[in-house]
Amino acid sequence: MSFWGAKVITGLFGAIPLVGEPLQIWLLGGFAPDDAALNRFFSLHYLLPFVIVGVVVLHIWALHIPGSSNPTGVEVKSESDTVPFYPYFIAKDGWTLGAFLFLYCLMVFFLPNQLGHPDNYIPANPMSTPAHIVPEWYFWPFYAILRAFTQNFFFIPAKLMGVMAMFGSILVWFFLPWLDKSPVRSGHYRPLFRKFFWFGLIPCMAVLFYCGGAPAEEPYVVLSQIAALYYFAHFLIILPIVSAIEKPKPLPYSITEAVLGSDENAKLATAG
Amino acid sequence: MARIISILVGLFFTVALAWSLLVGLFNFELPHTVEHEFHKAPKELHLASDGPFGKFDRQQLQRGFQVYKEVCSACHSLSHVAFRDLTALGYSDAEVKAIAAGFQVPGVDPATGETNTRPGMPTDYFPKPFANDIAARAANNNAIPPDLSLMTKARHEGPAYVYSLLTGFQNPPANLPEANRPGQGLHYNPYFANLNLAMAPPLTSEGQVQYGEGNPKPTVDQMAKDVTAFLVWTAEPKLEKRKQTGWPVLGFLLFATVLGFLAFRNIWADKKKKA
Ligand code: HEC
Repeated sequence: MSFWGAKVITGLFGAIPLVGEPLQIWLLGGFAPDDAALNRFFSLHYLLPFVIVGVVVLHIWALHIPGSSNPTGVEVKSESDTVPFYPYFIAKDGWTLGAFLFLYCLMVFFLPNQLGHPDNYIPANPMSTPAHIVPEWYFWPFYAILRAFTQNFFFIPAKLMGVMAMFGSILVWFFLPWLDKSPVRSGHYRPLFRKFFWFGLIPCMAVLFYCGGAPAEEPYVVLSQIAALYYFAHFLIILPIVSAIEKPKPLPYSITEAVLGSDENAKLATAG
Repeated sequence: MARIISILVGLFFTVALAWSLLVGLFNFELPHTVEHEFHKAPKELHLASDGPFGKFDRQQLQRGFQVYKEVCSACHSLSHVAFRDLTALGYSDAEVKAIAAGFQVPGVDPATGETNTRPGMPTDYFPKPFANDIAARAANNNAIPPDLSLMTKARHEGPAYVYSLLTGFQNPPANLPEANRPGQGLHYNPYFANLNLAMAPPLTSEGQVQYGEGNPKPTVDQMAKDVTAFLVWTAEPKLEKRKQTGWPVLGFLLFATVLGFLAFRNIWADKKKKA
């Protein structure tokens, strides 16, 4: 299955107009995934962790210079809004880490094949295509988007549309600050946004997830088309409009007020 | 401005999708193939190794190995298993030596350097029944009998599937369309994905394999169960160890997490208290 996964993923480059096919052969070092491609994949996969180390450095910079955000989306106003990392966040993250490791070990020791695909136990064979090619589970929603485009759109081939949409579906997250211009940072105080999030985006992602792992046949194709349609509408059409017309609920004065219900400083501020 | 651009981009994708969707709905048809109609989900199968406390039934594994050796090994390889691994089934070293010696494995003549065969040793792996894929195809109606080492992990619901496949050979139903009837050298089996496979029913009659004293009667059903249990072992010989290790790990994590949670509650108590 990994062989076919590699074939599909590198095949995406073939969708690029004009240069697609030569590019694909150049990237693979051949016409199909083979020794050369395997070596390259391997190099990439040990290289990427070092790239991630770089991002860790960025993370530490971001934490110390711009500072961290918080679930209320309200800026820190006074000392009483904050707690020291030790012991408060060590204790909080400590037990959630434990809970995560518990679930993780439950999978490792008792359900080791649950998230895998049986075909991964079959030796790669370029001569026999599996009936259904599916990627790893965490790619399912995006795979469903890729396959949702079944018709050419004017002069754009369906395959290219699917590839653009699949990458676009992730790229769109990077544009969120411009798409959602609401002055209120937390969805907690945005009733309309919350409705679209819980009754729109979440079910839509669930459908995409399910359809991405299902065979490419009806009714899954039509379902993933509806869900993918909502996905793009949500980020590119609904969010910009919602953030313009929505009337947010009143924000708490400070984090302290959000957590405890009242804040001495708030009273002083309004009195003074 | 950003809003207008984003809505335009959004319309581009959504309209393209709506077009695909419209065409899809217009031609909507649930897949209805002969395979959909006649294919059956695997039967239920319970093995001693199932479940979080499951342990192999060594006696059954030995019977299963016997079935593999006497029946399946004529066509199927077991390339990932070495003879010495069989000690895990409860065979003694001497017994393993004897089993290995009963197989001819590929070797090299030390005098001439020519390839030949020699009796197996415990460190050898199970030999392949066919010299190469072409020979395997030629002997099996153009289908290669797949290696069985990982078979129970390489199919959905693997163990139940293998068991159902072995016991599921039958005459094709009367209403099976002509195009789907088993052709020359094929055999109807509703548990197989495309209904007809090139393997002739390997287990056909009671007593085909003679079990030793104190074992259940070797019915086809029993032999199928036993060889499936054996193949569950070959696919994961460390299955017992995995489950046994899991329990203390989970126990420790549960203890540590509860402790951590109580510590968290304690430490945060005064911070969450209403002023
Ligand atoms: C006469 C040779 C022969 C014998 C003996 C035989 N098989 Fe097979 N087996 C085949 C062939 C050929 C195939 C490939 C069938 C196909 O792909 O159509 C096969 C396929 C299989 C498959 C895979 C089916 C799938 O889903 O692809 C399993 C499992 C299997 N055999 C198990 C067994 C077991 C267990 C035994 C012993 C009880 C056994 N076979 C004995 C020839 C044999």
